[in-house]
Amino acid sequence: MNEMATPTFDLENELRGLTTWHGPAPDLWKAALAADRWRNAGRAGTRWHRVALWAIGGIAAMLAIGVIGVWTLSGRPTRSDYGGPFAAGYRGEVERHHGAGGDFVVRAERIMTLGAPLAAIQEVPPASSGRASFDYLEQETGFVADQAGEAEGADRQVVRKATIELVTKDVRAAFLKAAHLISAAQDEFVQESSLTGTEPHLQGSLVLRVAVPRLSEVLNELRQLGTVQAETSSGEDVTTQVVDLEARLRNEQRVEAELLQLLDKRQDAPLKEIIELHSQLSQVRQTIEQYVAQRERLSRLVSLATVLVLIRSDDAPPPRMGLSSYFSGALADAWYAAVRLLVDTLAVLVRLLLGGAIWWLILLAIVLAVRAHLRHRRRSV
Amino acid sequence: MSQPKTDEQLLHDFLAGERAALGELARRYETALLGLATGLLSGRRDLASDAVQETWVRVIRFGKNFMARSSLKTWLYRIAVNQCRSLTMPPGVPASKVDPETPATVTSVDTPAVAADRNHAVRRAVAQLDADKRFAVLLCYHANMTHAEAAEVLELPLGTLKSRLHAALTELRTLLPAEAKP
Repeated sequence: MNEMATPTFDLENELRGLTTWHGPAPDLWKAALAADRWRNAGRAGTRWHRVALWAIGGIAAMLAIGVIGVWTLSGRPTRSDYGGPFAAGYRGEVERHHGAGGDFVVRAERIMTLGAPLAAIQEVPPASSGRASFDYLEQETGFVADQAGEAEGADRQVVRKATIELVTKDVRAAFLKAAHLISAAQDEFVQESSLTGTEPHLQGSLVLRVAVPRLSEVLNELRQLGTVQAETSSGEDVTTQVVDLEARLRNEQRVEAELLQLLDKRQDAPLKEIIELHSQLSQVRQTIEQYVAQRERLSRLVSLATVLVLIRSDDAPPPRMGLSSYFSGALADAWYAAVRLLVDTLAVLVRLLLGGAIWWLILLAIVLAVRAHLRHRRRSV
Repeated sequence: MSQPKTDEQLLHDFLAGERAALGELARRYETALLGLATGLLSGRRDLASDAVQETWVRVIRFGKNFMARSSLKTWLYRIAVNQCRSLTMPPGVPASKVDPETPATVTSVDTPAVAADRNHAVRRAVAQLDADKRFAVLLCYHANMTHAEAAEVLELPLGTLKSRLHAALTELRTLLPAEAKP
């Protein structure tokens, strides 16, 4: 065994003796088996503990996603709710009515009729277009266009705006018909109009100035020109401005009258004073003319409602919008879609877990039985 | 009479669920492993038991990874040696730390007291060797081991093992007191 020049017999023996076990073997292999079993049991316990923690965490996450989804889906309009990126300046807020199959709800802001403010209307009866919703609005609020001026009278001055978005096969025809709705006899006119694109992707827009008493009638006729995609209406109360303007105008007119009287009485005054008086008179006159112009402008705004009509064909792509609007709209849509997907996934998981509960229990029983059988078999060896 | 099963067959049977196969392996190697571990750990039987028990634990846990690239005996000893390395004391540990209960090798011409004293001296001298030489010399003089097997356990070329063995023996001769030599 030893292939080298051997050391002394004693040293060799002593070295062999150092690596000899004296006494019976303590069967350490049994202790090792027991230790391994405990370790596996502990790991299994730890593993089950981890599984339980993960399950609880997963359920909590799903619940949180579900809550976020419900909160998100129940409130906020998205870009698609706006039905297209038409001029935001004319657009009021459109809210989707849940449970009514996607009907649009017109939200009127600060339209005051019969002395009662109109709160935001959230509910409409089932309908397929905004037409019925607007009629409902009229019923509930008592706002009838042809009565609006009478009901409000001279005490209330409201600037009305409306926007209507139509889709139709023949854009040109609808465009021309819309333009011919105005009545020159009532000083109505087309403030702007444009027809862009080529067949079959024409898009038209008109800004009609319509007499307030005829607003409802004109809107009804516009609705018949195509399918209404969106419709908004708003009113801005400018009574305070008008009253203030009238007061200032009267004040300036009084000052002008006084200056004229003074000028008349002081014909023999020094030239310097007369020139001074004329200068002040000129300033007052200028101010009066400004106030009169503002009053007339407000009067025109109040007497003639502004109706923005947007017409596009069925096949036309939505008009291009600004990048920032597109970006925010795209993010909003993506968020909406993502949350819906998560909520749908959660719904499927809940359906699987709860609906298949019995089968899950049966499977678990089978797994436990097999494990117990295998463990029993190992022990018996 | 049937041939006794090889070590590899016993391991295979144990992994298949036959607990007794591990008992048979232990019957073949546990005592030898304890002896080697005791020597490597300067006579500490308690540490040697820990090392060998841990060896069996690794056999149980990692037996399925044994690829038969070496013999099972080599694999067992390699695990035991590595366990001893992790438990081993540094060289120069005072003899008082050595387990005084380790029986001495008694020859026919020695009294027990003389044998114990000589054994103690040799153990002390071996403890002063560095780990590489100590492992080499004890493995080579382990009853159950050839030089080739020892080289395989230590994962060394045979020539390197022999060099270390020669160096260890030379150092032992200088370390051992005069009365321990024949």
